[in-house]
Amino acid sequence: MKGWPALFVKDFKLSRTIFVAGLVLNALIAILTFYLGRAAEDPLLMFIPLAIGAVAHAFYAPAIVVASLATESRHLALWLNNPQSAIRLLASKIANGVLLAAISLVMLYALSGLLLAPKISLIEPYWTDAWKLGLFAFPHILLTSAALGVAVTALWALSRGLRLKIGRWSRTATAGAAILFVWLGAAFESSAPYRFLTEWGGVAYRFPSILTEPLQTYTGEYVYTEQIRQFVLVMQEMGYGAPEILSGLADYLNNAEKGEG
Amino acid sequence: MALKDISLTVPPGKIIGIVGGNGSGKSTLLKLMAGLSVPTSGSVTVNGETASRRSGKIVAYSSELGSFYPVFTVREAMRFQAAQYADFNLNKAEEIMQLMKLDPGMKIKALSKGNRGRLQIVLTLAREAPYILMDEPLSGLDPMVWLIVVALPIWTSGQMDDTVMETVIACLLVVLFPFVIPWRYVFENYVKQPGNRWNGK
Repeated sequence: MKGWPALFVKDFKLSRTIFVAGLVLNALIAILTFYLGRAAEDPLLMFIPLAIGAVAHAFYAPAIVVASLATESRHLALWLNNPQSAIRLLASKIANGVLLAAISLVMLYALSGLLLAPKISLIEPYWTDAWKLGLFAFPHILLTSAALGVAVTALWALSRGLRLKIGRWSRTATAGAAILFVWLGAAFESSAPYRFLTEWGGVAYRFPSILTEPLQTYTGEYVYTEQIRQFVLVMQEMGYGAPEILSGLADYLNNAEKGEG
Repeated sequence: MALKDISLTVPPGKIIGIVGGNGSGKSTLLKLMAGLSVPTSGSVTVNGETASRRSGKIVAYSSELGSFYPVFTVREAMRFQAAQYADFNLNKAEEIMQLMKLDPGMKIKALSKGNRGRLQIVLTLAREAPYILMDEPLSGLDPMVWLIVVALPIWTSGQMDDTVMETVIACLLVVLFPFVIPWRYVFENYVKQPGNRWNGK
């Protein structure tokens, strides 16, 4: 096994505990869905835990990335001495998170589907729209998860970089930076230039039995999200070679190792 | 500031030891050379290029406390290294591993401190990198492993001549010295004493 595949397998091994915990949560959600299917009067209610469980998968990749980076923090020399590019090191973690989110989501759908199958007569009016909405949600949840995973890696690097400069206030500063970036992003995304740049290739998805309004998507928005993701990763590639970030990481490394010579 | 007014050149093909008290900056110096730390002033170059994280391609670095992914077995750790470093010689790693008497199927998290130290040596010395930096590699290891650490890089580099052999033997004597003296003392002063029940057996 060469380079990146070996990194991918290593990162899977580092994060499989979260994967197993996620599968247990999936089983609990499926059981709750099944229970609501029996107890609730409105059959639509049984989709609520399933919808919450599915949407929660957007946080899967960031959770995996955080856990994986926390493990790497215990032996940063090992991770940082790896000559692979920062993009490849980080992409392995994000790809792991997205892949595990996809597997987990498929299992959630399958488990819930199996438990709902006997109730098909009750949910007949919603069934077609329900599985279409599930299908629509699947790639969007994974895309969101990947974007959040990238954001987490950037914030982690920023936090480590700031640690050298401002010490224990680095976490507060990172949280402040995160809020600022979200606010700036939201401000830009509600602006006329953003709409001008991204509102092309529009498709409206309709699920009339479940949602009154259609879900409007634009190809331009997917391109924008992908560009932002690429930009953040490239910035990190540069950042990992920049003195500010690296000295932050090095400082963390020095502090983490006892018995400094 | 851990280091100040340091200027040195490390020539290839030499074994250089850095000696100093606790907190004197030995580890910091090695991290700077490995590109894992950035100097606040001055510069560190490896083969003419500024030391950076990517220097890992030609600099094998083993940290003071040993760094492993505990989820790996010994063999998985070796294979992972082989996948990441073009200069990692898996056959050589297998040989050193056998020399170190490590169980390839054993999980790293289950290894004793001494065996982790041995594995660290396997993973570092199996790299055929121009520069090998080892931060206190002998800490917690028994004398036989010390000998391997001293002799192996020279042995495998194919540069073993009479002078090098004499140096290695001198190193071995220094290493063994503290262990030879007590036993000799015990032998002379206790075992060989007249009337001792072990005398003459």
